[in-house]
Amino acid sequence: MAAKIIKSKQAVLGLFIILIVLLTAVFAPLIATNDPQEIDPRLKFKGSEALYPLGTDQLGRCVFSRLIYGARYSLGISLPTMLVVAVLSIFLGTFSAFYGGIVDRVFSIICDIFMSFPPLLVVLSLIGALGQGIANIVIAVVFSVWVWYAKVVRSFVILEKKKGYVMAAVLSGCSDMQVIVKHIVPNILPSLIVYFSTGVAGMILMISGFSFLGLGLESGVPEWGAMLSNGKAYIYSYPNLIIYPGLFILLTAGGFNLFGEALRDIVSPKEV
Amino acid sequence: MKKIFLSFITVMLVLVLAAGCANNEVDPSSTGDKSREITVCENWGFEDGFHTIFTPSKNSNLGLGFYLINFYDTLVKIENGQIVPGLAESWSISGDGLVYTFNLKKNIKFSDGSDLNAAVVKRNLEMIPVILDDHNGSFGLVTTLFQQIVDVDEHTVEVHLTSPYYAALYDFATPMPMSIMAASAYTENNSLSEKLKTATLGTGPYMFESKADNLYSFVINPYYSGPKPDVEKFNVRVIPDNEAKALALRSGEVDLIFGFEKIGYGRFDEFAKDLDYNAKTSDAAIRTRLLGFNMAEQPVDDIRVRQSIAYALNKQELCDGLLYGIDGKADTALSQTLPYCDVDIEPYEFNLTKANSLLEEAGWVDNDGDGVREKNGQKLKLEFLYMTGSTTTDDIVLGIKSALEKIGMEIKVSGLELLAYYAETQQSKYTITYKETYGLPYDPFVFFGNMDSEYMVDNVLVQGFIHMENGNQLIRELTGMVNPQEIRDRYELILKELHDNVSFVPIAEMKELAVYNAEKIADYTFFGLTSNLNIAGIRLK
Repeated sequence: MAAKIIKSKQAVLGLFIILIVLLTAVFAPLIATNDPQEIDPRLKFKGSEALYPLGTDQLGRCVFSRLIYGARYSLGISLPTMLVVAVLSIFLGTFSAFYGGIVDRVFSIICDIFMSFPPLLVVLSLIGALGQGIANIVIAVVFSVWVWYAKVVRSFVILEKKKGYVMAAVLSGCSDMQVIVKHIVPNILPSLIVYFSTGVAGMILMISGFSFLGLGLESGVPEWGAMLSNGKAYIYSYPNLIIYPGLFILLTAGGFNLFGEALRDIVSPKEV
Repeated sequence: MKKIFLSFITVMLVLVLAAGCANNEVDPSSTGDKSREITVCENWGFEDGFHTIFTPSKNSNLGLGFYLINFYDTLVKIENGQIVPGLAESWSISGDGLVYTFNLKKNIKFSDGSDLNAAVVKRNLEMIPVILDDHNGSFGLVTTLFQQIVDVDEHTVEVHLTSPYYAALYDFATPMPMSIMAASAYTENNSLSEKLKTATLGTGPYMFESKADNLYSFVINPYYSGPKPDVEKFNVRVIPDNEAKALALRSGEVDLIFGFEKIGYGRFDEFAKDLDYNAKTSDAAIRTRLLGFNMAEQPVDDIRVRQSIAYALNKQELCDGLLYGIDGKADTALSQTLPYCDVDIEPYEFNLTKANSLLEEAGWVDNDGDGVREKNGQKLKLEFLYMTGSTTTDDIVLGIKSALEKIGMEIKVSGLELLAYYAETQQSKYTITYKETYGLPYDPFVFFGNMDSEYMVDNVLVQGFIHMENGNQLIRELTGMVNPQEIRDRYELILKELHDNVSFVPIAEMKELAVYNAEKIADYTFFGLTSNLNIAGIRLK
C-alpha cells in the first residue's frame, strides 16, 4: 500500500499539501510574525511589509499570522469531527447491517428521518440551542452528517456479510462480535478509509462555510471561512482579504481531495 | 402523414411549455419615464399591508415604520429635535398638561380623495389604543393616557389625558402608530380595513401603485398639498442580503441604499471612495453605542473597575479606526442634542495610567506576570455579551476587548442572536454588554422609562439606575411633570448620576447612512427622524 502511494504522483502531491498544512498548524507560533488576534486600529489595511507580509485587515490584524493560525482551526475542527463521524457511523452502520431485521429497519427509518433535514438546517438549530464554541460546532456537524456516512458503511457491510469468509467464520463458531471486529471491519476498512479521507475535504469546506455564515466560532477567531466572511465587505477595495483565505481553503481541501481520490484508485480493483 | 402529425404535436408541446415558462408579469420599473423614477432596496416586503398601527403579535415585521413618512403625516413632526407643525398648523397645551388642542391645516386631502378633518383625526386617535390592544404604550406612553378625544369643530381636535405626560408631543410625532389615515382605513367593527393590504390611505407625498415579484412601486399622491417632490415614482426592491444590495447598486439595479444596517460601515467607506457614488452621513446622531454593566456581578460592582474601563477606551481612536470616522466620540449615554439632555459633565477621557491605578487601588494586581490581574486568587475576568448580526458591532466589540486586555483584564466575548441576547441580559447572565440606545423618538423618554426596575423591560438600562434607592420614583415623577425647568432639573440630576456612577460607558454616537448613484441622484436630505427613508428629500440630477 505504502509503495503504491509513493508511486502515485497524485497521492504524493496530496500528501505533500496535507503535510505542509499540518506542519503550518503545529508550528504556527513559530511561523506567524504577529499575534493573530492583536488589534490596532491605527494599522488597518496596511500593505505588505516585513512585519506584515500580507498586510493587515480592517482591525489592523496581521493577515499572514491569521492565515497561519487558521490552519489550526480548519484542521483542528474538521479532523476530529471526521474521526467522531467515522467511529459513530462504523459502529452504528455495521451493527445495523449485520443484525438486519427489525434492528436494520428501525435504523433505516431513523436514517431517513435525519436525511430529510438539510445539514445546514440541523447545524443552524443546534448552534442556536447550544451556543457558540468549537465543541458545539463539532457536536452540531456530527449530528447533521453522521447519517450519510452510516448509510454507506451499512451498504458495505450488507455486501460483505454475504461473502463466503463471513459464512465460514460464523460456521466455525465465531461470536457476532468476533465476526464483526475480526473479519468484516478489517475487510471493509481500506474502502472506508478512502471514503472518509475524501470526506475530510468536504468537512473543511463545511466548517469554513458555517464560519462564513457566522455559525459556531467566536468573532475574532482566525478561521479561514470567518476571514472570508469578514473580507467580503471590502471586495472592491481590498480583494486580498478574501483571496488569501479562499486560496488556503482551496489548497487544503484540494490536498485532501487529491490524496483521497488517489487512495481510491489504489484500493479499487482495476477496470479491465 | 404520421411523421407530420408527430412533428406538429411536438412543436405544439414546445410552444405550450415555452408559453407556460414565460414571465407574464410586467416589471413596473421597466416601463414609463425613468428619469424621475428611482429604486431603493429593502430586506423584506410589505406583506402586512400599508397601515400605521402595527403590533408584534399581529404583524411579521414592523419595518414599514421607516417608510410611513412617505405616505402619511402625523399631527406634529420632529425636526432637529424640536416639535414642528405636521397636519396640525398649531397646538396648545393646557396649564395642567391634561388637554392638548390641535388646530388642523385646511384643504388637506387623503390619497383616496377624502378630506382631513377633526372627525377623521378623532377616529384615528380613538382606534390606536383599540388596535394596539396589549401593545398599547409600546410605541409611546401617550396612547395609554387618552381619556377623551373631542372634535371641537371641523379643524380643531382636543386630546384629554388622564394624567400629564411631559413627552406627549414627541409621541404624537411618532409615525408608527400616530400617523393619520383616511376614515376608510377602518371598518365599522373597529378594525383595520382590508383595503390597506393594497393601498396607502394617507396625506403624504406618495401612494402605493403596484407590486410585481419582489418590486413594490409607489407614485405621487395626486391630492398631496405640499411642494411636488423631485422623484415622481419610487420602487422598493426586496433584496435580503447586504452584499447583494451593494452589487445591485453597482449594477444599476437600485439607485440608493439607505440605512446603516443595510450598508455597513466597511461597504459605506468603499462607496465613499468611488466617484460613481455619493455616500452621505446624517448630521444628527441617531443612537449611542455604549457599554452596560451587571451591577450585581464582580468585578464591575466596584465603581473603580467601571471607571478604569471608561478611562481605558480610546474612543476617538475607535471611531476613527474601526468606525471609519463616521461615528463621533460619545461622552454621554444620551446624545446632548436630544431633548433635555444638554447637561454639563466632565467626560472620562482616555487615560491608561488612571485606568491602571484605579484597578490597583481596587486590589487588582498582576502578580504572576501573565498579563491578567488577580485579586484574592481570582482573575480579573469579564463575560462580555453582545448581539450578533452586524460586522461593525463585531469589530467594535473586538476593539473594546483588545483595549481592556491592555489594562490586564481577561475578556470572554459571547455573541448571541437577538432573542437569546435578550433572554441572557434579562436574566442578568453577563458582566458587561454592548448596547445601542433606541434613537429618536424613543430617546430619551423610553430610555428613562425603561430604567424603572419594576417594569424590567430592559435589564441593561435597569442596572444603570438600580443603585439609586428612590430611582423608580425619580423616573415616575418625571413622567407627570409639566414645568419645563422642573423637567430639565430632573434630567440633569439623573444624567449626572448615571455619569458619576459610570452606569454606562458611552463610546460613539452613530450616524445614519445613505449611498446613492451619483449619476442619477444629486443629493439626499435626511428627515427629522433620521432613520426614516425620506423619498421627498431626494434631489435628482
